[in-house]
Amino acid sequence: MNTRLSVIPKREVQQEEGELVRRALLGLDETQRTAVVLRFCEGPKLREIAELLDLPESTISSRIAAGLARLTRILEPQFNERKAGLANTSTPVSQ
Amino acid sequence: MEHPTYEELFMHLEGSSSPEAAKRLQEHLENCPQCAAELAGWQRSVKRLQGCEWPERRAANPPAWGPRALKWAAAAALVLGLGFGLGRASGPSTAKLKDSIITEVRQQLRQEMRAGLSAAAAAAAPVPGAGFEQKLRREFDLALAASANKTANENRRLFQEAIQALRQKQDDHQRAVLQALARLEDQHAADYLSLRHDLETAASVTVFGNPDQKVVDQIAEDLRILSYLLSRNLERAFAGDSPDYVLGIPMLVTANGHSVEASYLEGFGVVLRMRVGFPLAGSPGGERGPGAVRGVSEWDEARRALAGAEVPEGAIPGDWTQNSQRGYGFTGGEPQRYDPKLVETLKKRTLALLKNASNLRHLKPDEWIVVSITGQPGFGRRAARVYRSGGRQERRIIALVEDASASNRPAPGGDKADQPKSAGEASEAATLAGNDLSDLTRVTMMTIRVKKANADAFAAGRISEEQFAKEAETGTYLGPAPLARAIEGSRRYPLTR
Repeated sequence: MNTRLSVIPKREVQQEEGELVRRALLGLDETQRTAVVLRFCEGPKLREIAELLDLPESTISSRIAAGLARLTRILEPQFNERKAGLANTSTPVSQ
Repeated sequence: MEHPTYEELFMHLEGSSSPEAAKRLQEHLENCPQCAAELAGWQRSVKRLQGCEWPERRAANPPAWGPRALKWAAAAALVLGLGFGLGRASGPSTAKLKDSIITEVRQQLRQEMRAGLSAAAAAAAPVPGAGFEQKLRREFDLALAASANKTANENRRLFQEAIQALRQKQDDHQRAVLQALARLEDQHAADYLSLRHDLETAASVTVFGNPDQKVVDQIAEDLRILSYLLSRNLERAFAGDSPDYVLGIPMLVTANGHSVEASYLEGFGVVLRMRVGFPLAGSPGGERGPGAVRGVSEWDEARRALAGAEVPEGAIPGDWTQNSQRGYGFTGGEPQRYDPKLVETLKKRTLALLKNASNLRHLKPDEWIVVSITGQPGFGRRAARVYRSGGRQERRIIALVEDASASNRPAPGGDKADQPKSAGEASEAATLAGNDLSDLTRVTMMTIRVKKANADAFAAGRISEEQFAKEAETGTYLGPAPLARAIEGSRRYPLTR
């Protein structure tokens, strides 16, 4: 079924998906975005981010939580659509 | 059932909630598909964030998150090319050295950040997220460098500075967008001006003696209003009556930005000229007697040659309605067939609109209001195409004869060998061998004229629409479009397809 998927270079797929994620990040508040990017792209622990930003850990975690929720709302439909699109292009190959 | 808060869900995701809380949440998740789906979505988002490649990140140097001092030392070594770590340093002299390095690192990073920002602003990057991560990283490094100095305030200030820089970049983006908008607005203003220019030249007034300028201006204004009424109402009327003609084929063909040209000639009256995208008269072949049939003579050939009438590649003689250059008129599509009903509707509508002519302030009761409408050639592109492909010796025109009666009488001077292929045309086709080609590509005309006095009477309700129509003089005929002119027209509006 997914024969076509393997035809598309993996690198290209990654780039496109990365683009979706980067765009989605712009839909977040600046404070949420900073917290989310720091936590998941840079990798420091919550405590370290809190120290760095000189804010309580609870504030950081609620920002990340809100940011994650929002990011998921933006990304899920896009990725689902993408998946459907890729599946469609694969049908002629699998037939 | 009480759902967990986002914070609780996040703590669970992080694995940092207390064992009891974790157990409670786990139980909830097992019974609540909604929350489970939310968490699963978050996990996918986290994966996507982590899998996301940042264009500016140097893959060769993945950021290793370690003890701050080490990180700082690495940054210092990287930026300054110094081959030592902090661990080796001790004593007051090292502290001094450390400070100087921090300052230098900070300056270097700031410069880098500024350069990155101005580059991003200059490029007005269409991908708004592109520079973001780079800056964040630098902010981070800056903050780290500062935190090595253990001054929380400095740390904060630097971060604020970075955030401000980020906002500045957003401002740059906004400026770029505003600039684009301004350009667009200028473009619109220019278009509007040229349209206004067209509208202003759409009315010409010819008066004699020493006219009162005010009167001339008023006549021009009235003419413009009448033209406007005519073009708008006809377009609307036909949209209701015959949707087929509106879909893809504009009713009024716009030339030079206006669809109705109006002029006033003192002593005669008002002439309103407009063009429509369909034939106004039927087959000339069917209507003319055999005596009118002429051959394509050497004379005709010579006349064309003298006029420089070479058919340009892709152009079709007589297809004057093509105006792809300006985007008005036809955009391709088959030529319209002569439809007496449509022409009748056009006539009726136009007449009904002419009662507005009673508003023309300076028109005398015995002056005329003339509407002159130019239509597509009755044979359109089909005949023209045959003409182009036809040989010199044998030139046959397959013509569409619109009125059914024409198919009953023998076509002048022709045989019936060339039947068009399409089913709709079969019974209506006739072969007009040796007919004058320029006739077949000539535009069709319709004229309507009424006296101002009648328009007044109609507007005042003194005479009915039928009476008004009876008083009006109408006629249809072939327009004065010799081949050379038609070709000139098609040159002016080159066909692109």
